[in-house]
Amino acid sequence: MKSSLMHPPADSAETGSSLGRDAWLRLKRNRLAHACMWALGLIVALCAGGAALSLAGVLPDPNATHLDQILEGPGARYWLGSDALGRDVFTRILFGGLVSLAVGVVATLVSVVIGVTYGAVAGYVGGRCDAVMMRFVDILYAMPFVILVIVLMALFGMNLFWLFIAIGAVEWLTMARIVRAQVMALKRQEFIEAARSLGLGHGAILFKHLIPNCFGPIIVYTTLTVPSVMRLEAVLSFLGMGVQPPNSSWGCLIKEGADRMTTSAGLLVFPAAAFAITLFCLNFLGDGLRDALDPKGAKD
Amino acid sequence: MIPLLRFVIDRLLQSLVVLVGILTLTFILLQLAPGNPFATEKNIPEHIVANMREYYGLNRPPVEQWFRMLLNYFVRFDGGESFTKDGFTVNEIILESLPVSLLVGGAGLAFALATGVPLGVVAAARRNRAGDYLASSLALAGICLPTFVLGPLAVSFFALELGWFTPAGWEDRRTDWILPSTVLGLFYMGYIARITRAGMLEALHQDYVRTALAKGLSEGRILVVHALRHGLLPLVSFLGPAVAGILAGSFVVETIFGLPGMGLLTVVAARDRDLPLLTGSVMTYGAMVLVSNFLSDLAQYWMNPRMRGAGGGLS
Repeated sequence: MKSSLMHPPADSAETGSSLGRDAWLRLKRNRLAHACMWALGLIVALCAGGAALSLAGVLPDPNATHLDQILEGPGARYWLGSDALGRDVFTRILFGGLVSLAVGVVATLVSVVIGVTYGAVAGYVGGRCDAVMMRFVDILYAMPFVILVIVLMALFGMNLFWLFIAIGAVEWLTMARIVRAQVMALKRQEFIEAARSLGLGHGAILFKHLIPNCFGPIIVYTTLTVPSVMRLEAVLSFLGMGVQPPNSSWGCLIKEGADRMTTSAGLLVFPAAAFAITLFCLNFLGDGLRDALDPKGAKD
Repeated sequence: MIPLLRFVIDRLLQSLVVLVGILTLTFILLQLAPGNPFATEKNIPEHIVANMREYYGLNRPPVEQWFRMLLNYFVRFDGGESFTKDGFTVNEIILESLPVSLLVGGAGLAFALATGVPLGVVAAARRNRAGDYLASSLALAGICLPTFVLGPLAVSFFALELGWFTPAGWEDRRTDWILPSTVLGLFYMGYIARITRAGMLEALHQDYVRTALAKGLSEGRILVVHALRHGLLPLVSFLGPAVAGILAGSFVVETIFGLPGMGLLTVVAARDRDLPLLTGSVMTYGAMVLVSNFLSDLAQYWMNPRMRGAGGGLS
């Protein structure tokens, strides 16, 4: 995987501004990835639209309990049934999906910002500083991530904001390694020397010239981080350490469903299906993007 | 041989530094975290808490506590006494939990390798044909159906419906590992298959494969004898950190199946602020990660002749 991420920068220089366009055309040719992109759009639209309709009162309120209508099967009143407190499963899945997707996107962004900056600085500065910074990454790599998340959440309280930060703070390590390797390869190229001889400062070279040239691998790895962040959120929520009630997420819903699966399987199956389909699409889209942005793959 | 020896020594020293770092970071994090190990529902009298703090040396300055810990770990190989499990030392508790995780994880890993590698090879050999789509979808299903969905489903079907296994717990050691290992293995099967597929695709583009084809060797022989060695390299580098993760115990699987393994132990120790126990399990995990990364690098060195020249690839 690593080797396919590292396309020689010379290629992007040759194709110039049309790299993005080429990649887009290649992505569109990949039917499965293209379909997954539309499916993801549909899922986001469904979650957002459903939530809006629910707030407007057209669809049921996901937190309204009806203790006389508990654990109903799917039907006209509750499209996907009702849970143990008589809440509508369908709208709960839509709202939970919004939270899961938001965690996926925001925590990924946090991890990208940390990872790219850290990796780029380590690779650019090099030497002893790089060695120390990378040893620190090794240390974090060799620690169970739960510990970091548990301690961060215990320190700052269990709310969504700190959940974003905590997940982002444990998911940046691989990105840092990828970007560092890229920057180390790029910094010896002539265009950096040119930039330096023009009198540009380190910051400008790093953020205007080096990092933009790493965008390919960054984008690819980012799309592959989103599903793994979403899985991490679900795992934490499943263990009761993630999203807290009254908020809900797909992980929380799966947990609730797993507790009642023997009596009403729908409570587990529907949120699990939503979660699995989303992960499936994200993974295929990530693979498609990798093929599209990787000039080596274009030869086939 | 000299570059290899140098690599081994370098790596040992690095690992020592990383282990000290892990210990220190765990210590700092736990010092920062609110809550204390003696806060229970029962109202323990003030002077007893003071006695306990004295007994465990928590009244001493943090630097001294940290230094003692360092000494205990790297000189005496002793994790001290657990705060929450009275009368048990950390070493005893970990020696009790580790075999459970090793057994379940080892079986899971074997299952994942035995199914994932063939799936990946088939997918690569039949690229963009029906066989590829079938194998790739199977692999992705393993990744997208999380353990915490598959686990409960497996329990409800195989344990509650069919009655083949006990739903949870660790009593009947002949059968209790089967379900958790399979569920754990399915997840890694997906990753292994995908990485194998990508690695094999790259291997099949190499010139020596074309040469082998031109010589008229059979497809099967080329796949297994020529391409596999190169194609499995990415998998071996993935397995470095992954093997430690599998063997050290998944807390999700252990929670679902009620297994007294390392994963669960770590989470419980973190929740209860049991500093010695948590440090012990984090250090065990860290040591396993370092060992398996080291083995993975050695395996790559052995598998890839290009890395041997001047010891260049080893870093």
